Amino acid sequence: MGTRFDLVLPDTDMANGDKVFRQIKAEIDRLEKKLSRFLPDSELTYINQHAANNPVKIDHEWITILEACNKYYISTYSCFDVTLQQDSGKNHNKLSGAYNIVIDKNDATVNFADPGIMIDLGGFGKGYALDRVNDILQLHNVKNALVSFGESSILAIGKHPHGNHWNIGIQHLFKPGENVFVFNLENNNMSTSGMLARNGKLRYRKTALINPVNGKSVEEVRTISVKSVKAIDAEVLSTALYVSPQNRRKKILLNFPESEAIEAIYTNDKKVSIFVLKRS
Amino acid sequence: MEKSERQSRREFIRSVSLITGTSFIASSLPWMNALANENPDQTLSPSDKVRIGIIGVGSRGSLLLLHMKNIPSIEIAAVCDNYPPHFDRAKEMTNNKAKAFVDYRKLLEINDIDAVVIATPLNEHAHITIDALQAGKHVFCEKSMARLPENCLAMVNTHRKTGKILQIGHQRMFNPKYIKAMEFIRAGQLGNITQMRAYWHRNNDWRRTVPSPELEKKINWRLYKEFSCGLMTELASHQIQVANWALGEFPNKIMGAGSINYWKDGREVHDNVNLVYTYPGGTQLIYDSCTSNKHYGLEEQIMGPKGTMELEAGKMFSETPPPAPGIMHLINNIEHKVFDTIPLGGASWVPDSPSKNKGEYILDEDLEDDGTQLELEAFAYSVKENKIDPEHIRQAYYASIAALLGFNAIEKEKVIIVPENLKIV
Repeated sequence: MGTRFDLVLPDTDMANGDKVFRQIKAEIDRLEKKLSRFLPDSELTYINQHAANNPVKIDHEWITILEACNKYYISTYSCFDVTLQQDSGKNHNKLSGAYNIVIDKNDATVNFADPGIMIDLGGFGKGYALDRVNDILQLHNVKNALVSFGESSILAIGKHPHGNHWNIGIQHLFKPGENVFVFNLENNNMSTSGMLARNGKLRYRKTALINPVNGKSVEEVRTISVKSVKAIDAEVLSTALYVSPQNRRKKILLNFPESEAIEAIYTNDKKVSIFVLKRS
Repeated sequence: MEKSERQSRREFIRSVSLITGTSFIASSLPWMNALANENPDQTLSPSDKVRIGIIGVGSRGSLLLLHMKNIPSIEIAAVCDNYPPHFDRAKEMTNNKAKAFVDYRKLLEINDIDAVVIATPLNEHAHITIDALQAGKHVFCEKSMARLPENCLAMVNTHRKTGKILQIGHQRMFNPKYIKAMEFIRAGQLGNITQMRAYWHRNNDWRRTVPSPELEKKINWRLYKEFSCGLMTELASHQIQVANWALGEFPNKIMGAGSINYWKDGREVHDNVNLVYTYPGGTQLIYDSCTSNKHYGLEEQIMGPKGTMELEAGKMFSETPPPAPGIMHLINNIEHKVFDTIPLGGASWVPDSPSKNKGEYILDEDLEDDGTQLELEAFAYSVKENKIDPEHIRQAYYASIAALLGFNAIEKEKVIIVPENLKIV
């Protein structure tokens, strides 16, 4: 998924750990071949190339995924949108809309109502994969684990071997090692959306996040972190809240009663303010 | 040269300086600093230019000619070819300004020529090079050095005796990507090199159009043993040089097998070769080349316990990519029975990117030049400064010897130990 994957199994022996890891790796490889829009032979690439012209046959998992995407599109008031304009590289301002993904459950097909769109599961895939990783860990009866996808999507099962939960700190973008907020995680997930930083320096990715409401890329220096029971909720919600207009946030949060969200806003002199986002 | 063209070339050199770092430039590519600081509005006086004669202006020779036309410090003073179409084309490419010859010995008689560039068929490299060096000319000769090992040795000996520069066309030695890679290797980034693989695969008959049958061997000289050792001298020598350079040793034992299993068209040289080169320290280079499949293309893979380099792709792969710092912190804490906050999440949502798991680029920016223009710039600089790099000729010599002995190993179906009398210091 173009991202570093880390798995820490503190109380699993080497042989079992290796077995679990191999199964997880195979699952992630499978999902990448399915969901990546950058692999030329992925299933998503096939859908993106053909669904504008004809209904494309899809499997049960795809139906679940695309229905979830459409559900999230509605529950985030269109702030979470997996569709892009095919020529979005040239024209960021053109809007697309997940409602253009037409799923026919009876025929098991997907079709694009707007021929100009494509699907990008970038803001969905890591969360979806973490939930599948969780399934595998449960299957193997793993009691304690910490799983990280690029350090921005975290799954915490059970607790730290020397604590009552896992403490996950959101790092200061400009001061590596300094935490601006700490989440206590136990059998839940955390996801962060926002600017990238490495060694205290911002790494701009202007096309990384596009506000689906106005089609503009989001460029303020801030991050949104979300804690949820399901990884996919954390992933979707952090992305949606990041691009959402202020006045839509409360409404969106009401649709995610089990999630907590905090926002870190950085000033020009690199000072940070933390806001807990409220439902009312 | 047009100002705009020259401007863009200087931009290119500056960007090389920028991406590679100045100490790297100063040590490995010393002429580059001079070029980068060149004043674009200033025209070089004729006395500042190196006057060059090109002997052999076929496909490679005319490419070298085009590169040299872009180098302000070079004046193409003469051209020479005994094949009329190439002779005419060469004259035309120099706008009839260069003196033109059919016999290279006449070219060597011109007093105000500083150096020659030789791009003839392989079997003619040695005697032309030796004649040129003895006539007091510096020589740039295309690889491989010669058709026979003893002729390579004679070339080196004449170069050392006359004190004239002899540079061989191993352009990878001048390619910043390769130079940077060698720096990383010397710094121990791969650990000790334990295995090397190289290959060059093409899917074509390697033939040039022949206007009339009696010209077959003159045009398609690469396919006949009298003139060439085929894949070994024309392709493998480049990659063997890279392997030798990376390891810092020269092979002393060679095994090989090859055949003509596809292009049964009257050619005499193998259309596929497969060899194992053993180095004194016990490392092997596994080499193969074929002309009936191009799927794998070309690559040099250098492997050690810490990592791998793919030099044509310009990539480096660590055996153990460092864990994310936050996770490292966590593991450290668990091992020391400490419960603390794990600093994560400095990152964010980013789109899928297929490049991340596919190694790191040796240079951030790849260059359009494969080193050919740079090696010619270097040659002009060496001639002007009269500087000889003794390591260059050792590299070139052993690459040629290894290619030729590899060919012999295949032909004789015998393991070949590099004889003592072919070793140079």
